Amino acid sequence: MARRLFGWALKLGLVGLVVLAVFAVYLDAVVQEKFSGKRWTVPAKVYARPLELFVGQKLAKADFLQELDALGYRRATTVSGPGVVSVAGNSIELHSRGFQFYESSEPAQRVRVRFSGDFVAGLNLANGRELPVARLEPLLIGGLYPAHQEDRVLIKLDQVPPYLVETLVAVEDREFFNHFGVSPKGIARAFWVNATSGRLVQGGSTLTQQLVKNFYLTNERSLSRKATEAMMAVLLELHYDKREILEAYLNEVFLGQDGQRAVHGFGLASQYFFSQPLSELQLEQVALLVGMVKGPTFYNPRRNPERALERRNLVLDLLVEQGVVTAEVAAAAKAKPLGVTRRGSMADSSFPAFLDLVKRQLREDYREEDLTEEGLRIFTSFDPILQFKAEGALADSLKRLSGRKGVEAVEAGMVVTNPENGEVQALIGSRQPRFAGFNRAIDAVRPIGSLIKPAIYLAALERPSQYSLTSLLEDEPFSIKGANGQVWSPQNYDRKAHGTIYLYQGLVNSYNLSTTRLGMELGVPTVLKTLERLGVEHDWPAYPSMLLGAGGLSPLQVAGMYQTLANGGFNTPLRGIRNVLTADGEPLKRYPFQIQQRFDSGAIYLLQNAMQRTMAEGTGRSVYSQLPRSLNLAGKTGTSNDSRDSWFAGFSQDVLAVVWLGRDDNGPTPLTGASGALQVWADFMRRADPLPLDMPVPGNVTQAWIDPVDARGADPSCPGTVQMPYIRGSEPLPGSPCGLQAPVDSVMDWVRGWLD
Amino acid sequence: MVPGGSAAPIQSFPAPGAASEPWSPTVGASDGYGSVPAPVAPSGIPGNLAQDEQLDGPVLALLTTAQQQQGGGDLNGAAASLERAQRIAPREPQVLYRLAEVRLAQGDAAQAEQFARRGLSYAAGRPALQASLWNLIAQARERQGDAAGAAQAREQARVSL
Repeated sequence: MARRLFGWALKLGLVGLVVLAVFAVYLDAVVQEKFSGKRWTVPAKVYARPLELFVGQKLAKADFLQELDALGYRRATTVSGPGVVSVAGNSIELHSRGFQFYESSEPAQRVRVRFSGDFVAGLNLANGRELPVARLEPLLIGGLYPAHQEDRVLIKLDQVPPYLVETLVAVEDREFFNHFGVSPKGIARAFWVNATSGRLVQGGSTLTQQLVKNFYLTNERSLSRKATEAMMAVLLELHYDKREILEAYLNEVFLGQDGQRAVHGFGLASQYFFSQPLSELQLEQVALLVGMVKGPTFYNPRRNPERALERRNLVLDLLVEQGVVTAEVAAAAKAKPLGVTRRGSMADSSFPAFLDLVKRQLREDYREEDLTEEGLRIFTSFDPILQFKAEGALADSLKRLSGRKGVEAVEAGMVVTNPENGEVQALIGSRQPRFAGFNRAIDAVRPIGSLIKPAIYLAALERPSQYSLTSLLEDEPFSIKGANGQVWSPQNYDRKAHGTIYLYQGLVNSYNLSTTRLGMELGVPTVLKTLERLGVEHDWPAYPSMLLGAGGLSPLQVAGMYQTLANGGFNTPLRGIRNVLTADGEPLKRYPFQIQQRFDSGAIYLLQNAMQRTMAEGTGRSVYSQLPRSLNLAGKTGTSNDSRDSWFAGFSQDVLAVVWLGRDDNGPTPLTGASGALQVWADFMRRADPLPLDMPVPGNVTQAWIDPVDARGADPSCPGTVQMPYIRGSEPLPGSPCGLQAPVDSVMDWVRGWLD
Repeated sequence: MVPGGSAAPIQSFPAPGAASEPWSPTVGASDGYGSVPAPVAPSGIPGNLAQDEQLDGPVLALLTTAQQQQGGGDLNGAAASLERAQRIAPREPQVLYRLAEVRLAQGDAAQAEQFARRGLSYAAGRPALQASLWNLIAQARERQGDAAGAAQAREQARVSL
């Protein structure tokens, strides 16, 4: 009987072993299949523009330091290695990290930057040699995450900082280098430690088991899963060495949740919490990250700083206990703050509006899986310094305007570009720029009001035989009967007629009567064609009301239109992406700078002159309550019916910005273009400190002296004459000299002016 | 014809270009570099940028890099380096000239012509550079099959000098 039973047991056992062996073979295949292939997909990474450094560059020291902070440079008295900066007055010494760019690779090097005013006055290597130009590494501003939202920065074992492996092993799996995947000794010790200390200090799983769990298995907790995990851990150890397993672990481990995005691996965690590459982390930072493995949410240093600090210090104590570091070293580390980047700082902010722009472009050119899995590196023109200035200007201006009833319901869109190459540098899609959602900079298509007017005047100035800046226009009421019998009677904003005026005054004061008369003379289709040549795609009907900006455009489209005005009549498609590298740093795609001359530079010069007068003496003049008079700027206000839209578009030599304010429900606002959008624009320009507009005089433009009262040619010797640009041949005939008494007159004028 | 009473007289307006002396290609304060226009013959000949005209630090370094990249057949890299130079010195016609050259080498004659034209708008007072730019326009027009336009451009190149 007993023998029979034993025989059955033996047979059953044999069957069990066979089943187990088959299962093991299956598991082995699973283990090897995933581990030998591409272990992770990596989302595309999006970078800001790298900050260029060269002598003569306009760059405020404070902005430079803000960028270095965002890049996680550690301040120290001596520069000991990459990622360290030392500041002494106007001299800044730093050790850059080096970076593979599209054009070339930037070496990691010790650089001295000397500032004078808001300019870089000196750029040298540490050995004193002059450096013509250098680039910092670009700020990582986002990624393109797949549906499961896993993000990581892959690292190699030789890139880890000192102490990381020792600390990880000390805390999570002391027997890692001795066991075969599972560790009975480790389980026993964990049990003992936990029991004696009365809390959960150690888990029983080996690093290998933890890796297996994260890598192959679900989160289900059961004995059979535990057994599978143990078998797979053993199998993994059979096939791969400790270093490979450790490297995989470092890249796989979950270390935090950033909204929708899961932060995996020490490489990304280092960027996410410290804005530093993993290799630069110091002992206390390593201790914090390793301590977080146990409970990334529970020990999140941003949410629960005290808990995180306690855990970090516990880890440091453990390192002393195990002889990894001395008590003194640990004590010094414990004295350090957590050091995680501040929320809302440049390093720890998201820029959803700009990323949206980038993603739209990328999705036209790449398949979704290429973007979310291949680790592409996307280099953009985004300028975090200008973005912060734009955000600050918007927030402060809205605060200043908040006394007006209804401003609280006003939304915003803003675009900042470089007029000299069409690159988008900053983008705001909401008055709360951190929140992803309706991107008004791109998607709010709203009536542009008087922003259309430069197109009308440009169409006129392109015909120098008919129009000059001093041609006369009638600013008088009139009516037009449309095809449908409707009568259209435009009105001026102040409901007054201004009689006979010079052409430029119609634009400068944004008079509707004279402007629409001019537009009708030219023909609405001509004006709409001019708008298209400026770079605006539209399907507006050729109604007279289009002359007052009844047609809608987005802030980005307006920026495209004004780009052509700012850049001497050369149209440039706006771009947010410069180029793309593969994960290995191989060039993949370029988005080249392209230009096309659409207008005679002379006509553009005259128009810019009128747009500068708009700022100096017209509807934009309040800009100079915030800015110095010497700063030449050109721009135009826009206000739609009942102040539903408050616009301003304008530019300096090197910065172009468009601001839109309005309500999402298209209700009236208390803001005109001048009282609303212009205030944001002026505040932004004050912060951006741009170069004054200075377009070279084209060959076909001549400056003529004229009498300010009748615009006839005058001689510069006559009192009160002014200069006005004309297309050569359209200028008035020169006047005769005013003779000897003239200087007396001007002295008298001067005395009178002085007495006044 | 005198404007009606409501029209304000024209104000004297300090537009930068409105100065009575002719515009000079001094970039000085606005670009923060290179203020000396030296009208020595520029040419598209590789390797003698430094003698062409006085260019300083960053732009010269990047133009040299671009030259090397172009020499090594890396036209995309050369174009990217030149765009980098253009961001640093947007109004330096030599950068635009080199961009036009690289575009031409890349087979984009239309863009080559556009960049050369943009270069011309910043090349006042630099006759040798103007001539080079017009010659480049002539080449670009030939490539586009515009023989008459090319001849016109060559004539412009001749009168520039």
